[in-house]
Amino acid sequence: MISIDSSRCTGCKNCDLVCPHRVVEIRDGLAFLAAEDRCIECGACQLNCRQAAISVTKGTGCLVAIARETWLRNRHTSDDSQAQCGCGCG
Amino acid sequence: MRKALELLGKLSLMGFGVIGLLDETSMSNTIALALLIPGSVLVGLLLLSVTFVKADQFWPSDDATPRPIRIRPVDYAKAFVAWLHGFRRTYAVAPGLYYTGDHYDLDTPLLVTANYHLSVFLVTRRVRAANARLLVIDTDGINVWCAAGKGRFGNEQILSQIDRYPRKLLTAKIHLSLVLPKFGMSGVDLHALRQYGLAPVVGPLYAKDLPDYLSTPPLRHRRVDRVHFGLQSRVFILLPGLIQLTALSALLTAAISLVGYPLGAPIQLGVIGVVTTLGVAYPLLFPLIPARRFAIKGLLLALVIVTVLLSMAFLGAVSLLSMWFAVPFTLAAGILVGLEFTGNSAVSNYSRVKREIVLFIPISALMLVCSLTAFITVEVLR
Repeated sequence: MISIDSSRCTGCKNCDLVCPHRVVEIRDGLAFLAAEDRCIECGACQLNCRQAAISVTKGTGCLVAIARETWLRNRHTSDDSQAQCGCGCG
Repeated sequence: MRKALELLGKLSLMGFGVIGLLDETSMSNTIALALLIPGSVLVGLLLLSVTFVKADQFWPSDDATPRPIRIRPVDYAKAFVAWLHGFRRTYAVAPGLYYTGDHYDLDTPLLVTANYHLSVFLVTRRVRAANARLLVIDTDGINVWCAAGKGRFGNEQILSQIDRYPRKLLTAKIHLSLVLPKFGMSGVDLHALRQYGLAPVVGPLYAKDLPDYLSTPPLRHRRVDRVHFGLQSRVFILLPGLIQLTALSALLTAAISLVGYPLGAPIQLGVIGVVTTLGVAYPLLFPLIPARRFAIKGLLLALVIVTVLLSMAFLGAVSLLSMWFAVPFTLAAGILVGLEFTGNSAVSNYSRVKREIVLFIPISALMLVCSLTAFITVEVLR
């Protein structure tokens, strides 16, 4: 789930710049969800929004990762030095 | 323990292939061999590649000298294995500063990438004609996209490599300019990098676009790039995905052999046939299957196969009794193949996929139980 709080947005364009699917675009000087369906919830826009105007339910959309976090309670965190990659890439 | 399991897996697969070679008494066995031997070879290759993980991860951490980077024939072989392994962690490259030209040049662009061998290989292959520099950061041998999602490709890793080198060795200017891969941006905080005195630039998504990008200085943000998950991308991931599915169906056929079926029995060919058909058709037809959810797409594809199987059964080409376990197995496999594709796809939305998995995995498990129960019942009746 991704949402934009327009009242916080300053139109800095960082979200538009970092989105790999071009979900967010700038319209009338503000961030706008141009293609919400394409959002994969990678969280790049949220991380790079200095105004905290964007909120994303960040996660890895992969069977193994979600099965682990749902049934094995093994959700990866960035603090994990072992980088347990849920989708098997690490 | 892990090594013992890997060895056991390899031996059992080798044995599987040998048994298949000895037991060539019927036409169905010949077909089974045609399917199983390449499958076993691929699975064996996959397991062999697992043992090479971290093979290159021994390097002096205090070495702060930029090193030249060249592509050797062995790098092509490693890239091939990484591809077969589904772009999972296979080989790592020592993190640090590299240059592709004849000499180290402070004025050349500095490209940041992961220390996943295939990432370094692809970037180097594209920029070797130019005199570029590579800052390979320590992502634990994981590719850029996966590492960024897991917090292994980010500011911490970038700064840790930059701090390894005296600033005058990196740039003669006030701000050090870095070209970041757009695929890694889910782990990189641009503002924090700027505060550190760096000038980060978001570069292309794909390595193939690097030559054009680098040929038009000054380097600016590559805003227009967008992920494309077209037929070419899906064909590219077809074989690695098929290897994973082959491994699963090989295990299933081996389990079926344990209950007394000879290798190449129709049920085993059925399992391999269903899984292989799903594994090939799903990525190829992905956007054409009229559904939005991964599992529903798999289920629809499975329904087509079920229709074909039932037609064959009513025409007498296959046993009608076998449909009691073939139908639920095919439907369960369709769901699993669909959901398994979420990890290979570049369009998986976390929340939607999570809802699908929570809903459809129990359904798939239930169908597998139904299939197994029907199989055991048929066995007892037989």
